[in-house]
Amino acid sequence: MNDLEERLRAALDARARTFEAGPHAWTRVMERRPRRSPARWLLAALPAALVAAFVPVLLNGGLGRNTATDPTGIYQQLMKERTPLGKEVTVDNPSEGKPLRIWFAKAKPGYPEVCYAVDRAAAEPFGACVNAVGWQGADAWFVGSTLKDGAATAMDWGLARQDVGTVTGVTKDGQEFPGTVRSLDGAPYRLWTVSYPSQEPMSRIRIADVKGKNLGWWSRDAMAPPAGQPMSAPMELPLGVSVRPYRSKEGPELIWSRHGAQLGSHVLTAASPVVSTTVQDGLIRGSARKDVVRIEISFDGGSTASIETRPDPWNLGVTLFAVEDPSGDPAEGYRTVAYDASGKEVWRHDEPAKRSLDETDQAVGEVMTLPGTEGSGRPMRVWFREMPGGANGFCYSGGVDSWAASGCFVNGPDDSHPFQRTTTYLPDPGADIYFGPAGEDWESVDAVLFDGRRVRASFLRGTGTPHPVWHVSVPLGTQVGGFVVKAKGQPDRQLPEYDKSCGRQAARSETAPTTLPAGVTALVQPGCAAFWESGEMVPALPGFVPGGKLSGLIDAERPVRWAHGDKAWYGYALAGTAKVEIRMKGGVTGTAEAAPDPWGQGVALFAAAVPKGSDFGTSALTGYDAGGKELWRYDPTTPRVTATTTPAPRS
Amino acid sequence: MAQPSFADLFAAQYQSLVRLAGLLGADDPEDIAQEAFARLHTRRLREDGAALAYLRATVCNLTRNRLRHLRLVRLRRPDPPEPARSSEHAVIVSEEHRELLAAMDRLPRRQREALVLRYWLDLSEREIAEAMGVSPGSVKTHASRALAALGKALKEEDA
Repeated sequence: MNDLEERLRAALDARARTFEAGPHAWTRVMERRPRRSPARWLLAALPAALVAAFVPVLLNGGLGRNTATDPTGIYQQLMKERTPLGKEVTVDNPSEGKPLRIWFAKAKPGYPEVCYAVDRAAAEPFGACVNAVGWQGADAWFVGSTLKDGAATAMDWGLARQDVGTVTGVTKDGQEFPGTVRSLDGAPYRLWTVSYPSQEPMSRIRIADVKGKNLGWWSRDAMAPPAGQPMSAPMELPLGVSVRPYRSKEGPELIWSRHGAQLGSHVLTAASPVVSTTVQDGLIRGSARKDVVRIEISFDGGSTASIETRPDPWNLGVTLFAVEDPSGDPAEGYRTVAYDASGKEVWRHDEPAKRSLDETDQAVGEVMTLPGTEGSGRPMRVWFREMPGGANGFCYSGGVDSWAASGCFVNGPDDSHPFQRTTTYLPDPGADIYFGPAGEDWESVDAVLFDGRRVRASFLRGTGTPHPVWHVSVPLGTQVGGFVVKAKGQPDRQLPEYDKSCGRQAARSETAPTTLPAGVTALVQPGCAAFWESGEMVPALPGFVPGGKLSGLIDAERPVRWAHGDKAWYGYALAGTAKVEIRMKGGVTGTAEAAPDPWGQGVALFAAAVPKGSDFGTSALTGYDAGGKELWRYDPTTPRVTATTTPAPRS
Repeated sequence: MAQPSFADLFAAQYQSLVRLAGLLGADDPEDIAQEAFARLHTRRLREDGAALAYLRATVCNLTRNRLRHLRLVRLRRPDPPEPARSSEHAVIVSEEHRELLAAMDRLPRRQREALVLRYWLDLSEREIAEAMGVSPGSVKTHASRALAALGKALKEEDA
């Protein structure tokens, strides 16, 4: 390291020490989750489907006369460790003039996947399986596309929930192309396809239910984010991987995709290493210097890959490659050795394993297995630990639905009743299991279903744990409106089940929404108070538990629930509130008129246009009665005795 | 390989991410770090170990967007208040580093990101590339250009 680098390191260290974390950071993070702007909301809804590993087809798998170079062989390879779920469908692929096979399968841990095999006119067929656990908050979403240069017609396709009746493709300039929605017997979702002229690419789909009621739209960007100007035609690599150069300020940007879904991007510069490798989505892909003809990769776990590179057809001076990742673990470290045409080693590089943290080393008391998850393939473990600041934390890890099934939340304050949900698919027919830390004086917890029925929770107590744990299981897909907690000598407490499907449920309601100022409309349902801004759904707020009221969700400590969209801020507050003032971080202020809710929920509803120059980062709200007298204040930056009462997020 | 829990990540990385946002020039580094964690909490990441990389990338993206937003706001409003952190730094960071840090603050955002991620967080090229959303090759380019620009700037100021 030279002198400049040493000076830089010291200077950065010195400056870094001037940025301190506040003592209430954890609570602030918990509080800000539900108040997502629409953009944040969309991001939060990013599904497993986007990050799901494509399952590459193994070539020449020795399956009799069928090989993975024909669609039947591909099917057999993909289904080696999967079981079919419903019937297969074959749709016309207008770009190839050959059939596209689509079917659902159950992965080893039981969750649904959608698989496809693409037969091609001038190239080998390929296939893959993608996680089909629905995008949270989406009624229909994109999975793949046949769009390619040289074909007059393209087809996008994806999945939709069972009550979706129509999907319409919409281009950037507003042209619409009707789609086809199919039901596959025994499949968890419906399948939609939209064909359109290749010169008029779709930008989104408009979705309606079987009765024709508008359910909103979903962007194509989630499958294939917009790119810049293409420099040339795409190049085909094995396993259906396609790579195409685009202009960017930094140099040619290679965008990698498969069956229309983007896998990643990669900028070529003069300083690019001899081999640039990405291990992701079950693939090893990347570029290398033009003299590199062969690459050997050996993973820390012992698996290896031998890769023959292909020269780029665009004269960018690189070779390209895509092969199956034999490691199965994208966090594993690996060694790359590159060879030229004479077999001489020209480069080697050791990539360290990605770091991770231990989960349970700070557990207080026993680490328990959540009842009902033992046979799921990945049992959910729960435990307590000390959190930053000394409060008790309740932690969970496991389940088959990935990262979101791992986390902790604060269990210290008396009125903080966070809970979590995990879904099991095995044994059949699967279950949604809700669980959370309980107080010592809790007598019962009831899950309240949408139809008002109640399911009583059980309590679990581990050796040496500071609190019991409650848990309740309902059949997979049962709509739970919330929970009622009964503690000794205390009034019942409502915990709404407030998840990202709130908006989806509200969009299906036959009830007309209530009109508020600033173009906002609102509708309350069990567990969900939904809001729209000029007809577009914006972040929702917790709704009442069946049998309860919104007024049960606010009190003197938490007198208001609010959120904002692009154009308006809105919410509900204690009854008697006639005006709500907001003061934002930068000094910008705004006022909203409030009025009693029309639903008999015992709250005041308010909405107003977003003031100019707004920055909602941290905002304080004050409520006034009709006479102008201050009724309440809510300032999330002021430390409160209690943490948020907002339930934990759903995966 | 064990998967980090949200609390583990929070306990281990929150302070570091606040500082990362601060070093990248955020006017409210805590806001950025909290937003990154809030987004992570609602996101599904299938790949083990991807959470930390996601957090770093989110802090980089949010800071970049925030700076872009502030620049637009400043263009529209002639007399904006300076971010509170600026004056604070002038006092707290010792004189010996000020010249170098001032030169770093003038670098293009991408170059600044590459330097902070490499020399403060000690990340590998692959990790820096993930955080910045660019290829490892671009990381090298940004970092070498940044170092060259810093060296030049310091020489000019010494002259």
